[in-house]
This record gives sequence, C-alpha cells and structure tokens, in this order.
Amino acid sequence: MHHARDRGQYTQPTRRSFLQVGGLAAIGLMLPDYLQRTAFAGHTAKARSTIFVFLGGGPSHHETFDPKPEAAAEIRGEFGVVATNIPGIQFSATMPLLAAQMSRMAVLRAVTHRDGAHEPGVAYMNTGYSFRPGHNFPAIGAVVGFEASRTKRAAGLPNYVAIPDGRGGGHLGPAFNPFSIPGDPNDGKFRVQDVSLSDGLTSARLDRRRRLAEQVNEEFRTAHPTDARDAVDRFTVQAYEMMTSSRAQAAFDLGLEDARVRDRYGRTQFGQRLLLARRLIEAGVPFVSASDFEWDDHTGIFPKLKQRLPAVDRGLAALVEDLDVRGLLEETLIVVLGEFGRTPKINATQGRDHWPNAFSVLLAGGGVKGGRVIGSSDKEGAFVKDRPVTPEELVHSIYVLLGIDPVKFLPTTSGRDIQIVREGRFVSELIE
Amino acid sequence: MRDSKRLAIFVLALACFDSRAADELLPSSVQKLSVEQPEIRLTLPRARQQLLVTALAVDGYLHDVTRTVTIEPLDPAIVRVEPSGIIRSRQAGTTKVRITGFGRTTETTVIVTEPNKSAPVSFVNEVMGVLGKAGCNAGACHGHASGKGGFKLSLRGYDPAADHAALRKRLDLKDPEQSQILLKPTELDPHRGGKRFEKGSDAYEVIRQWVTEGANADVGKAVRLQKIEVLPVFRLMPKMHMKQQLAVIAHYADGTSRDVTDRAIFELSAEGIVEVGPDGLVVGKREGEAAILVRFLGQMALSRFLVIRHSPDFRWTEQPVNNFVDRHVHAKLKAIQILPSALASDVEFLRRVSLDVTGLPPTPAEVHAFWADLRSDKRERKIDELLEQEAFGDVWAAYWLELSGTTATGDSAGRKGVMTLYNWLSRSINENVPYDRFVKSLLASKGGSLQNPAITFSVNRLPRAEVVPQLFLGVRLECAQCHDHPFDIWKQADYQSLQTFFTDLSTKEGAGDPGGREIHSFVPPERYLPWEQGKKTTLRLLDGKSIEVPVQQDRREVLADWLFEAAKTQVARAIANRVWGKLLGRGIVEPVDDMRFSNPPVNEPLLAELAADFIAHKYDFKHLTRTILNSRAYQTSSIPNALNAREQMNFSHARLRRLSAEQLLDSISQVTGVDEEQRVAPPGARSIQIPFSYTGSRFLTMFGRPEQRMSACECIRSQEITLPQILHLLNGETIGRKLRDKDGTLQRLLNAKTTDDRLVEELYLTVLSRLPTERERQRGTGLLHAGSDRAEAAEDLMWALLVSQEFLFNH
Repeated sequence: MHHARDRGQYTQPTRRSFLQVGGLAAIGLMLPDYLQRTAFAGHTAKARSTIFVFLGGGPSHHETFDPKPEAAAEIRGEFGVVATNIPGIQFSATMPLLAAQMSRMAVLRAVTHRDGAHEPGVAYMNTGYSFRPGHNFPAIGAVVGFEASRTKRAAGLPNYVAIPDGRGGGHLGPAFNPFSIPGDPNDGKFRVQDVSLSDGLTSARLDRRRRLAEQVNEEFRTAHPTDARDAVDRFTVQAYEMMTSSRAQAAFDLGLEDARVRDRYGRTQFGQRLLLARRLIEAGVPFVSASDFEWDDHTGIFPKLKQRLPAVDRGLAALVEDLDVRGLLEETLIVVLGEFGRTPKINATQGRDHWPNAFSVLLAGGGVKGGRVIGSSDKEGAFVKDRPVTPEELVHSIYVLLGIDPVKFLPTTSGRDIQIVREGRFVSELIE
Repeated sequence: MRDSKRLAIFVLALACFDSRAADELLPSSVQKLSVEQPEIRLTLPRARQQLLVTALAVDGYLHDVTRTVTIEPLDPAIVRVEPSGIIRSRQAGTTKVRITGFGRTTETTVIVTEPNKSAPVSFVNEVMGVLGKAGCNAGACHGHASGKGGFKLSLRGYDPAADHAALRKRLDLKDPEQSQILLKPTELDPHRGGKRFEKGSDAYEVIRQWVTEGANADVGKAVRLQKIEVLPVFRLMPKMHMKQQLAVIAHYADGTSRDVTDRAIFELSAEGIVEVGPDGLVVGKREGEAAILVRFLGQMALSRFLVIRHSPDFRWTEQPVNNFVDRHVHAKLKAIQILPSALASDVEFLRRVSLDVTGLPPTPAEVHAFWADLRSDKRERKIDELLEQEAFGDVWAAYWLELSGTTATGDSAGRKGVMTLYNWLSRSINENVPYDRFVKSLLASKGGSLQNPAITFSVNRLPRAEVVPQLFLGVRLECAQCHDHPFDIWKQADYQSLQTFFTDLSTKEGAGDPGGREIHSFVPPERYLPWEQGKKTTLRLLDGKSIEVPVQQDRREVLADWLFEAAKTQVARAIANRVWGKLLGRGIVEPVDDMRFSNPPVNEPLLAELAADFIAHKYDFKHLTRTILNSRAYQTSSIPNALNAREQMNFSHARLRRLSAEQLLDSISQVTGVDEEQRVAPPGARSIQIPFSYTGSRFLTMFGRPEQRMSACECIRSQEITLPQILHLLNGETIGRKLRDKDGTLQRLLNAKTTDDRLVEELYLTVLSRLPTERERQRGTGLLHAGSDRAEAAEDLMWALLVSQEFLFNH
C-alpha cells in the first residue's frame, strides 16, 4: 500500500526529489525555488505558471490543428488549409495568425481516449483520471493551487483563477476550488465582482470597518478555538489583501491595459479573457484557466466556427506573441484543449458529433519546444496513426513541465491519500 | 576507533531508551493473565495459530502481552512457538502450552490432528488468499478495470473463476518454479509492481505447491468460507504507542476453522489514530477512534480501537441528564475521560434551535418573549412551538428534494411537478405523517402526479437501486453497480437484484398540465398478457432472502413493505442518524449516509436507542427531532472546556457550523429587513422555499447549494468555507445593497431617532439575537458619537455584525 504513514508525510520531499535538491542546493538554488522548480522524468521545470485554455463542448480538430485537405469533401469540411511558419505543417485556414506562431508551439495530434460524453470527457481531460461517478478528482489548477499554498502566494492573489469558471478542488476540498471571474471582460462596464471596492467604500472606510469587525469578533474568536473558525480568519486576511493590494487590484483591472494591446487580443469576450489571464499570471497567479463552453457543434458547424474561430486565432496568437515579447513565454505554459474532438464525417445536419478517438491539443511555452507536431491521426482524422497520447500522459506531462511530481500522493478530504495522476508517462518529445 | 566507541554508546543509549519506553507501556501490576483462545485445534499440514495473551492490569485496562510473556509447549514435538506468539504444528498430538510472565501463569491446550485425506492446496481458499494479501488484485494493480501489463484479476478477488482463467496462461506445470506467477512477484523476472513476496516464503510455497499439484481450480467445490472472526473486536488503549496483536480466524461450512492472520488484509478507517502492520500488529498513535477492517476472501470483520491519554487525576463529575440521549453520550465521554461543556445560555440555545428547526434566527420580539418566560420548562415549550411552524416542513422538504435527484429540466418532472412535490413534502412533514407512510408514499405511489405528487420523487435520472438504499438505509451501493463493494458487505448481485424492483416504474406524458407534464406510474402492460396470468416471480431482497410474488404485483410495494418489516431497524437507524447529523453537525455515523460495515457508529448504544425509540413511537418524526433537541447533548455550549477542545466526534461540546447557503441568505434578508429578489421563486419567498435545483443565485451557489441534483449523497452540498464567500460577504452586493435599502431595518432604526445606546442594542439584538455586552455597548455608542456621520457609523456597525463569525456560524 502506498498510503502515507501519517498525514504529515506528504509535506516531505520524496527521496528522488531529495537527491536532486541536494544537487541543486550545491549550486546555490534557494529552497523556495526548489519547490517551484523540481526535476521529474529528467526534466528541470521551466514553467512557473499556466494558462489553461479549455474549449468546452469539444472543438473540431479538423477545423483547427489537424486539417485533412486530401480527404473526401464530407470529411475535410469547408475551410481549407493554411501553411504555418514551419514547412510541412498546416492548420485549418481559419487560423492564419496562430499558424504564423507555429515555431513557438507544439501540437499533439493523436490525443485519444474513449469517453464520448461531455461530463466524463471533461473530467478526464481536466484531471488525468477517467470519470468515476461519485468521485471528484481535482483539476490541474487545484493541484497547482494546493502545491503553491504550501510555498508562497503572491499577496492578495489566489493561486487558481478560472475565467469564467473551471473545475474544482475535488477530493482536495473546496478550499482549492478556483477563484471564478464570471462576466464578459469585453464589456465596458466589466468589473471583477467582489474584488474591486464596492460603491461608496473608500479605503479609509474599509480600514475602519475592518478594525470594527475585528473588535466584534474578538470575544467569539477567543472562546472558539476551532479549525472551522481558523479558515474564516485565513480567508479574511486574504480577502482584505485582495481588496487593498494595489498589485492585486491592478491585475484584475483590464482598464489599465494599453488600448492597442487590448485590440491585439481582439475586442472579443475570448480575447479579453486571455488578456486578463496574462495580467494575472504576470502578477504572480500560478494557474489561470480561460475557458469557453460553446464548442459542441452538432449542427451547422461551419457558419458557427466562422464566427468563433477568428477570436480564438487572434487571441491565442496575441497571447503567445505577447508573452514572448515580455520574456514570459519560457516560464508560462499554455495548454489549449477540449474534452474531445469531433467526428470525421459531417453529419446530416451539417455538424460534427463527439469524437474522442483522435484529436488535437496545443501546447506552448513553459519549456515546450516549438515548431513540432507530436503524433498523427489517420488520413480521415479518425483514429491514431502514431504516437497516441492518453489524457493521463497529457496531464502527467503538464505536471512534469510545472515541476510537480505527478505520481506523488496528496491528502484528500476523505482522509485517504491519493496519487495526483495514477498512470501516464512524460511525453518527452515536448522538450527534446 | 573513538568513533566506533561513541557509536556503541549511542546505540546502547538508544536501546536503553527503547526498553524504558516499552516498560512504561507494560502494566506495572497484573491481576490476571489470560489467553484469548482457550483451546486451539490445528490440522496438518501448514497449520498455524496466532496466540493472543492478555493481561488485566490493576487499573482495569487490558494489555496485549503476547510478545512479552514466555510461551512454552509442554511437548515440543507437537508444536513450536515463534516469538511473536505464532504456534506452528509439527505432528499430530495434544499438548498444553504454558504462558508465564508478570508473576502469573496460565495455560491453553493445542490439539493437532491429521487431515482426513490428502489435502491439496485449494485455489479458492489458499491461492486466492495469497494473491489478495500480496496486493496483486488491488485496484491500483492487476485488479484495475483494465488490468496491468496485460494481466487482469478481478478487483480484490471477487471472481475466482475469472482469475483462475487469467492465471492459467502464467503457469508452467512442468517446471512450477518457472511459472510467471512465481517469477514476477519475487522479482526474479522484472515486475513493475515490485517484489510482493520472497522466494521460499509461505506465500511462495502455497503457490508453488498448488502448481506442482496441477493448478486445479476448485471454484464451487472448495469448502465454503462462512465468515471470519477477528480478536480482539475492541480494545481501549490508555496510552500512546501501546501495541495489540490481532488474530484472524476463518470459519468454514464444514465446521472447521483456520488461522488466517497472515493472509488477512488490514485497512484503517481513519489515518493516524493507530497503525497496523501486514502481520496484524496494531500500534496506537494518537488519541481518537479507529476501526480496522479485516478482509479475507470477500469476508470482513472489524476490530475497533479507542486510544486515550489516561489521566489518573481525571474525575468524572455527575452530569445532569435530560433524556436517554445524555446517558449514552455521557457514558462514552466518561470512558474517554472528557467532560462535556456547560449548558448553552438561553440566547445561544434560542438562536441555535431557531436556525435548526426553521432555518431563521429569532427576531428581537422572539428573543424578548423567551427572556420574559420564567417557566422552568421554557426550552421544551420553545421546541414544541418551533416544530409547529410551517418553516420546519420547508427545511425538510428542501432536504429530501435535494437528495431525490428530481429536477425541473430535461426529461424530468417539469416545474409544476417539482413545485407540487415540494409542497407535498413540506405538508407531510408539518402534518407529521409517520415516517413509514411517508417513505412508502415516496417509493410506491400509484396513479398520476396531479393527484399524488409523491410519485414525482422517483422521476429523475439517478439509478433507483443506488438512491433508495442510500436515502432510506444509509448505505451506498454505487460501488456494487460494477463490482462487489470493497469496504462493505454488498455484492454486485445485491445491486442487480435491487434493480428488478424498479422495473415497474414507468412514466408517460400527461395532458392538461400547463406547467410541465403529468407523471403516471403503472405496472407494465405486458405483465397482464393472458399467459402471464397467475404466474409468480422470485425477487431477492437486500438481506439475501427471496420472496415469491405474483407477476402483476407492484414490486415497489414489496420493497417498501420489506423496508418497514425486515429492514426496519436499519431504516430507523438511518433516519435517526440523519436527523442527529443535521442537528449536531456530525452524525453518530459520519458521513451520515455511509453506514458501511467498516464505518461503525461512535456511539452504538445511542444510535440503537434512538432507532428503537423511533420505532416504538410509530415512526413519529417530530418525536425523534424533539428527543434530540431536548437533550443536553444538543443544548451544550459551543465553548469548549480545558479537556474537550480537541474532541470532535463525541458531542462533548456543540460544533460551530457555518450557516447553510439558504440559512445565511434568509438570515441576512430577515435581519436587514430586505427580501431577496428571487429569480425563480415568487417575491417574498425565502431561499429554502426554492424547489428547483437552478436558483439563478450566485450567492446560493457560492455557499454550497448544489446546482445539479446528481447524486443522493449529502456530500453534493458543500458546507466548507472558501475565499470567494468571505470576499463576497465583506465586499459583495448582497450585504451592501440590503444595508443601504431605504426600507430596510437600518433606515427604520435611524428614522426612529432613538438614543445611541438604544440603537446599538437594537442592532445587536437584530443581527446576533442577543444584547451587547457592556464593553460592546460602550464601543458602539462611542462609534456613533465620534463620527460626523451617525448614519454611516451605524451602517458600519451593522455591517461588522453581519460579517462577524458569530453571525456566520450556528454556535
């Protein structure tokens, strides 16, 4: 049994990481840094933060990163292809801007699993565990948040932010749920709810209220020395930090961004979500998910994608370029995925249905070597031709890239320690 | 040289320290030495028995001294004894075994007999045991749904026939030692699962001999394992680090039994309290309770441990008792040497009981009236009064609806269906319909939902074979949907047979219902075909008994009747535990709906009597609730004393419970005097009265109200505290807008032009249901007086009260 002997054990480094720390310490790396950057599968992590772009519903791989121009018309669809800046690699013609960034990105074209329904697929791709009714495994962001909570947190900022919403802490507990930012950041009146000071509240008045609240709480707190109450204390400190830290306030405030940069990401809901994500990781948030849940195109897929894909193309291309210009791409991992791809054959209602057998995931930054395609699907984009990558392998690899030991056990709310990912190996082609 | 000397001294010091520590754990003076097994029968070959020797110390505690005493067979030719107390057979015969230590002596008899006939190794009873103990069929290894490395075994060995088939390809009958099943686990061949046992070990020899004998499968032929027994079943450890050896005995259908301590698997119900080694040696680690689940070939047994820090100075002081509940709670607290907290004050009690029964805190008028009541039984009267309020029914209607899985959207009940079900539930609770009738209506109503809304309870996508046992028996069967339950007694066959009871439930679209659809339940017409007339069918119930019923019989009725006949004790225990959990914040079994074999109650006599009393009172739900509310256990203060602050499971003091999403929002609305604008309910409705899973309320979702009714598990609702919640309370619009509302409480109080003192008093009374202390009064009036803006100061004070922990928690 791999059960930790006591609840404290998980805070100890594994023997393997211990050996490496010894080595790193010798060359003068400081301890907090080691917790951020540890080598697993022989890879010394470069990524410090993640932007996780989840296209819920299942984006078509044919119309994005794995077009099949040679296939029959009912398979290849309407869009045609565009050459990327790497010879021999083509994208769907709807993604010209991103195609020009191919040298900075890696595409997995043979991601595969067998869960063709949304809920199981979403669970699998977000956690690395196949769906199990009644058990909630933690999202990658929750695990990152858990790890970060044991080191240091950027004052006033949560460790896991989801725009507009994302998968939660699962068996790690709701304390590791994402901090959600609903709403449309492209709306002129957009404000991050509860974070910016509400109307009529000056910081002087907030200070006064805080002191008053502390007085009111004083007696009750002393009389009740319990864990439940401690959580309130802890989150109260954090909440005031968020409301008062100028850095946190600025991170959440898209209005401070240069109008030209905002334009570059596209004045769309999706583009501005990505820009908000960049502001947050720049301010020190280790994991931000930026999602869109509109991708379940069973009917009339082509006109809908014509509406939607340009925003994705523009936003993602701007994000990759912007991070690179700012020197952040090397330490920021970008992952773009959905729960599955879509059927090769266009259906009777001009849509494509769910297809988990072979689909594409895009990665960039965070130590990922650009300009490469890993794995391929067959000539119809139906099944894996070579180098399949399972969700376990994908999620495992993300943790390796982030310097988190993917196979270690974390304590759960049920009292049992459970492995971060149970199976999977590092897809080493990502860095070689 | 010097270094090695120093090392020697260090080792010596360690050794001294160790033995001293061990000495302290042994009883200083022993009254009596006894053997847990008065007579031991061993059958050759391969027979062994773990002996357990127990010392009764003068202080009354029991100590395991198996490894400390001297154990000698009078005839060493018959058996030999290992230092850990394992007796191994040598040849047939009878001998006494003498045990000496602590100045005492005792004896036991060992009888070793020859087997009736040559005894080949049994695949079912022995090989399967070895595979289980080595962990081969664990979920993370070959027991995984898709196996490991191309080799798949059934999870924890629930399907021996399939396992035998899987193993056959991994045997070398000509050269048994070259079998994969021996090379892999010994790592003579590379094995990703690591080394599971040594070459030449007992485990190895069992498999080797089985292969040598032809690797036969005796599935269905081997003598049936009836049950396993573990010794001791319970032990109280008065100190940390005490040890206790377990012994596991398998009992077979032919009347024989065998020690299987070395084949049994030991698992902990809770980490950290005790540890248990693969050999069954238990060590106490910290104060608390733990159960050890012992598994062997599909059978289970439980050994429970209570670890305390015995204090010779502890004196139990007699506690006042309100009813039988307190007698049981106190008995347990006395055993673990903890004193309960004092009785909660009247104001604490009033706020707590109001929130629990009606979902709302008391109004200032109610607080005043309670103060004014000088009768000695005013708490009982208050409880009776609250139980007659309609809000009581709302609280429980929302509870049952949430767990039913019934939703208004998709292929389900429709808005009207959900609404009428809510009303039916609320009315039934308020009319105090006996629980048996209540459950039978929910399970087996006939006709259409317009006349009989209870039918709607079953209209959803959750599998009934999962929902019904969890809701009404408190057992979780979902594991058994795919395989035998690993931590409980349920088999996959139980799940499958339970499913057959629900084939009767069908629905059809009804006409004339503008709000949705009408649900009908009926027996499928094919059962009325002429050739089906007079036929009977056999149904298997969860207790393993079968029943013959006519084909046309509505099987849901059979199940409902069974619940309140054969299963009534469990049904009563399940609901008693739910009510207890809801009122005290933690079940006697926790989680409340996981009354699994390996998860025993912390206070069995308490749960047993609550259930018996409930049945004796003809399933009177209000009586059950009233009994708990009237106990001192419920009414104890949330302020811990010096001894019980860390005690969390035995109701020594009231738990702090964060108000539920609905309690909190409805309380804020009541206190501020501003109704919530509900998106999906009529104006003025409280949140608890929203019957739909979708509420459109960010507040309710944020505070843990589930957006989807995906499971009958109480765990779909979160009572945790999170950062967004605190941020929203401090800075969100819910409190902010209601505070500033022109028709709200604050404006009303300000407009009344009272004195500062009176204003402070009203604010405390309204928000916290109590008067300010002298200090709070001074601070409050000081605040109102000091600033230039009295209204702003009053708003700040009321805000501070609303975001206080005292308001956030039920305490």
